[in-house]
Amino acid sequence: MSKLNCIIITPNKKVRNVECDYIGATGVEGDFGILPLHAPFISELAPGVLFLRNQGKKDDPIGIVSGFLHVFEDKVTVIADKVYEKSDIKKSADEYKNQYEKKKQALEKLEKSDSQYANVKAETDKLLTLLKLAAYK
Amino acid sequence: MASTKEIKRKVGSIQNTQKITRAMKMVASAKLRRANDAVLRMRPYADAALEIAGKLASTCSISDHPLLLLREEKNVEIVIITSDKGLCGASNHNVLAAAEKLMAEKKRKGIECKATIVGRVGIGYATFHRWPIEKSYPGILERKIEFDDAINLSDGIIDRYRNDKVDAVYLIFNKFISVLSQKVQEIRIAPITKLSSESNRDSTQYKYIFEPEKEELLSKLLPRVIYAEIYRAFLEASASEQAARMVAMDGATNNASELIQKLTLDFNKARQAQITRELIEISSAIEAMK
Repeated sequence: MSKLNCIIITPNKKVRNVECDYIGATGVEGDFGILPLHAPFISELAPGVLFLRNQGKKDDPIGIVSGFLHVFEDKVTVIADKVYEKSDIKKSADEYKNQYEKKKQALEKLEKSDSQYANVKAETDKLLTLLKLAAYK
Repeated sequence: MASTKEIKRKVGSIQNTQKITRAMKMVASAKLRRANDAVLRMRPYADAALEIAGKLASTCSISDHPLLLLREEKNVEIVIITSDKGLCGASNHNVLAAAEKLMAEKKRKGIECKATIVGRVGIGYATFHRWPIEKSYPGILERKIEFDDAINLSDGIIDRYRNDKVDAVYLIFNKFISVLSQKVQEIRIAPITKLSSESNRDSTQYKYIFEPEKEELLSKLLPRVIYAEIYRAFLEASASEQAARMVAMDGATNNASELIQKLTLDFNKARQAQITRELIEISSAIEAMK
């Protein structure tokens, strides 16, 4: 069976360049999975966890705040501004959850035109990513 | 001829200068290696962003997004990347001269120019020469360059472009080729025209699935291409700066060595002259006593 070639890149480094059988990720329109022979596909990624599975084994999950995923002829390219690994998780999922809830409330009070909106939104997304990564099993 | 004491003092001061230039050269070479690594590390990202945007753009027409559409130039913005510190040879001057030339050329055609300047050297120069400055960004290149710096600058540009304040944006910076050679590069970053011409056409026959709709994707992906371009320019400029400084400081260290050699020769001559003079004095005193 053919395999997927998955490359995950940030502006600072190539995070992964591996062969795998399955990729799961969170898109802006919901979670999706990629198997070999997938149709050409471009998706924007939402804050969430991307994971790879190779021969039934799970690779370390990667937290992605925002980015794009491109599938073309079994080559999957993910570009992301920033990624988080398991080693970046310093607190428990509950602590991240508390922080995230607080930030989310702060965000809801702001108007979209507010100069602070983008900053707070970025922090909320980051916390959501960390929360999902911390809670990932 | 100067006295031996005076020459000795001069040699001492030149030796001190040489110590500084030698240290600066070493610092520059360490920073250069880091900057060069960063350039190499970001290349795959830029290539991938361009590839994805290219695939996407090939399924759209250029009128789908303002960033793809070539407009008649009435107002242009020139982004000039210089360093924050001097002592790096002619590298800043080359960039500024190229910018000046481009501005003069545009002005001749009746196009309004505005400059966005990165780096204190350029800001100082532009203020002194009264260039119309749109925005200035001091201190980006002197610390660790973050991708967010590029996003911050690009978002300003994209905003002005989308609001029709400018019709084209040019970027001028030093491209790092080797330690001995850096070349001023002048590119247009908006509108983005290099997507459509490439071999992306063949992908039109494939039916892509887009999430979300392709217009929305395009408006999110195209800025990424510009972020990558600006980030690359930052890194290249920083590598060029360090390379130029390394060469300049190497030259300065060599010049100091030459000077010290010359002064040491002078010192020896002066000392010899003094000894000769003293001998003459002694022997003439003996002669007189006879």
